[in-house]
Order: sequence, then C-alpha cells, then structure tokens
Amino acid sequence: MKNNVDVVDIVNAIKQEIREENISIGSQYLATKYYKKRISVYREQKEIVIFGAGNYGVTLYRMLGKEEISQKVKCFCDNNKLLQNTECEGMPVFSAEEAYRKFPNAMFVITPRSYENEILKQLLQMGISIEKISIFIMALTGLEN
Amino acid sequence: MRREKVVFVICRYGIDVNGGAEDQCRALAERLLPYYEIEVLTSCSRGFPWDNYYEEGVSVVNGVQVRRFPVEGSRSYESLEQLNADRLAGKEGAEEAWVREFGPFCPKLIQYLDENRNQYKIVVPFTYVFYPTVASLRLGLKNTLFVPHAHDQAYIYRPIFKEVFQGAKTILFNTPEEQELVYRLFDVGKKPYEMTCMGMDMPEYDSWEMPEKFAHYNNYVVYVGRVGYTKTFAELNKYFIEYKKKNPSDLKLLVIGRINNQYTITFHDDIEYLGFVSAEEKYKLIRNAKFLIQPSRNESLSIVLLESMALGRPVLANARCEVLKGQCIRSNAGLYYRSYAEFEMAIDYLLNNPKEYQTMCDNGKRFVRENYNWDKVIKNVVSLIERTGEGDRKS
Repeated sequence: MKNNVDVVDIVNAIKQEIREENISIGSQYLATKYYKKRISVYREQKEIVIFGAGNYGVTLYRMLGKEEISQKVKCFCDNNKLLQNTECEGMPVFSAEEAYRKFPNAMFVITPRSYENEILKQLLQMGISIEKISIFIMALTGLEN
Repeated sequence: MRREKVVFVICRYGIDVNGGAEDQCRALAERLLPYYEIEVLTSCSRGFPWDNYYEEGVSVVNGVQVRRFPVEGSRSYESLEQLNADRLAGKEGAEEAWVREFGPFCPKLIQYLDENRNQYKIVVPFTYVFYPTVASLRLGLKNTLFVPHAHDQAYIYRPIFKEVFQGAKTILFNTPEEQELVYRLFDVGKKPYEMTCMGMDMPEYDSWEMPEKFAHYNNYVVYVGRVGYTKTFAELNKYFIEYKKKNPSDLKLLVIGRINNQYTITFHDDIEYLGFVSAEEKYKLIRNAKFLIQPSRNESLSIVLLESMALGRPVLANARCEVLKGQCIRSNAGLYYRSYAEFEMAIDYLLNNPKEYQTMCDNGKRFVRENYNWDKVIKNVVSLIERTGEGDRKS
C-alpha cells in the first residue's frame, strides 16, 4: 500500500496554522499569569542582565528568545568564578560587579533557585535600585516541566 | 560444556518493576538465556525513593539468576543540591559523592563484581546515571558492554560521565539520536557498537475486547508509564485538562502505571488512574485506545511507544525528546508537539482524519515488525557480546 502520510508535513502544517493564528507564547504553552506579568515587565526594559548562568538562567534566556526579546539580554552574571569570563548561550558571563559597571541601567533578573535572597541583598548592596531587580521563579511559570 | 557467563548490572530488576530500561534489561537477559549463563547484579530496591523492598541474596526470575544487594542510605534532594554547589565550588570528591547520593548506593554489589570479575565473559551495565552502572564502569574492566540509555538531560553533562563512558569496551545504543548525543558529548566514536537492543513480541489473544472491568471505557487516549515529575506527566495532565475545557466531549485520558511516592496528582473527571495493570490488560487498553500519548522528555527508546505502534495505535509524543520525535518520523506513525497549541491541534488531527489515522496505524505495525524483530536483535547483540569478550578480560 502506498504510504500517503508524512508526519513531518502534518506537524509543519499545524505549526503554520498556529503562526497564522498569531497565538501568544503564553497561550501556546499555557503559561501562568506570573509568567505573563514577568514577560511584560521585561519587554519594557531596554537592557537585561540575567543573574545565573546555570540551568534556570539558560532556560530564561531561551524563553526570552521565544518571546522575541532576547536581544535585550546584554550578558549573564554569576558568582561562580569558574563561569566568569566564559560564554553562556553565546553571551558573555561576568561577575555581578563587572556586569553592573558595563550595564548600569539594565534590569538584573535573578534566576538561581534557593539563593535569591542572598543575591538580592548582594545587588542592593552594590547600589542597584530595587526597581531594577527582578526575581524570576521558574516554578511559578507553569513552564518548568 | 559449561556456558560462558554474562552479567547484567542494573539499579533495580523484577517482574513488578515499572520502568522502560528495566523492562528492556529483563527482556534481553531472558532472550540471551539460550546462548549464555545469565546473572543479574542489582539492588534490593523496587523504586524511588530507594528502598529495600526485595530480600538480599540470590533468586531466580524467569530463569535468570538475580543477585540482590542492599541499598545503603536513600536519596536526599537537599544533599544533591548541596553537592551540586560543592562541585561548582571545585570541592574535591563532590562528583563521586553526588553519584553515591543519586544511588541506589550498593557498595556490596560493586565489591562483589570486583571480586568475581574473572568469572564473567562480559559485564553489561545498564543506564548511565545510576550508582551501580557508574561504579562498575569505573572498575577498569576490559570486557564491558555498556547500554547507556542516554538522553539529553542535565546529568549527562556532569564531568564524571566522560570517565564513565570511556570505561566501556563496546556500546549498545537504542536509537540514532542516542548515538548522536553520546558521540557529541564523549570521545567514544571508535568503540564498536550495535544499534537496537530491543525486540517486540506482541501477544496474540483470542479476543482483543476490553477486559470486563474496563469495558465502560470506549472513547479514550492512553498514557502508560510512571506517574511522576520525571516523565513530564504533570504537563500532560495540564494540557489534557485544558484540551477538554476547550473541546468538551466524552474523550478520557486513561493513565496506566504506578504513581511515584512524591508525586501529587491533580484529579479531573476526564482523567482516570488505573494504576498497575497486567500485561494483557495493558495491551488491550492500548489496542482499544484512539492513540497513546508519550509526554516524556527523557527517553532513549520508549518501549511503550513501540508497543502502541505494534498494536496498530498511533502515538502523540513530546517533540522535545529527540528520540521520540525521531521514532515518529522514521515510522510515520505518530505526531509530536512542543507546546499546548500543537498538542491540541495534533489531537484534533488524529481524531478527525480517519484515512490518515488508519495509514498511521498500519505504518506503526510495519515499522515495529521490520525494525524490532527479536531474531535480528539477538543476532546483533550476541555478535557484540562476542566482540566484547575477545581478548584479555583481566585488568
């Protein structure tokens, strides 16, 4: 029997239909209100520094890519000296101090799980205003799995 | 003449152990009995969190000698987090400690293997991430045939696994995607290998009618596997509830499999948890379903996906798992999704295009028949065992 099904074509047609319907990323992935609110805040920023070059930082960067705002991300920063002056997702990784020197007007988005309070304190002590600091909790986005 | 001895090393083993790699190990061990004397070294655990469910010592499971060793300690997620931090801080021994904590920690198993290494023609460690596999591949044996069950998850990027993969003399991959991942991460491209270590023998029943206790289900899709966070089940749960909210009908999701101790179920009228069912019940439930959904991101094969195809039921799989997506494309017997939107439209496609649906049913049967034939698989595996066992096995 002739095989008249090509699943790649079927899935591509589904993707095309979704593009044409212009469904938001939040709706496509059933993101929570928390996620949508965070993304709308990040969309308003000119520059973003992602604090944490680990799994959560990378995931956030990719999420921002899907939202078409990853160009706002100027760098990652991390307290782990082994990661400083390396690259993550093609972006430079600096210490927090270095990132702040280079991008003083950026919003710092804290991603590491468990250490957010310590990092918040660290950034405030560096002189970054609270309005320019955001804590991004992956578990509240509905997208972690 | 005394037959040569092949030993499998796996984290847990048993007829009532719920897991794809474990099923595959058991099927392979039993199928190799006509060729070799088979022994399995495993823990006393049946599942997470690591327990000592089975008795320590030797037993026989379907003709295979199984030697169980006690698990010492149980996994603590807090400790794993601390060990991650220690590794990043460059603390010595943190990586080894992480493997022990990940478990199941059975030092007596490794001691036994080490002391008896010369009695085995080859050693076959199963699934790269668990302590018994890691420790056995670090013993410096020269006759190790590794079945990694590798998939693209965070663990595989840990530095210790470079050494673990180097410990293998030969490798048995499940799919081209798994091989590609392993070759990308580790310098093992020159090691002899075979592809596909699983055959599918589907049973024949006088009737494929639903067992009486399930006969009231007639319009449903099915999930088969562990119910827990590691299999992306929570996402399927959320997606299916949303689907039913937007598309009211009598369609149900039947969930077959043991619920992990630490998983919190979200109950919904259209999702039915059937728990652990017999093999016959499972096959009939799949055969009478519209299709099977495999939401896992972390698969190196997915036996249940092949079972569904063999039974003539298409699949809907998570495209974020390259293996599942690859199997759908190779077979032309399944669709795949990356988002809820794609999930919803793929379900609608499968339910509303009967001609294409039927072709996918037929494609799946043919795919499994042609590629997962036990005679072919055992011939390849025996050939690899012989190549692994050649030369000096002492180290």
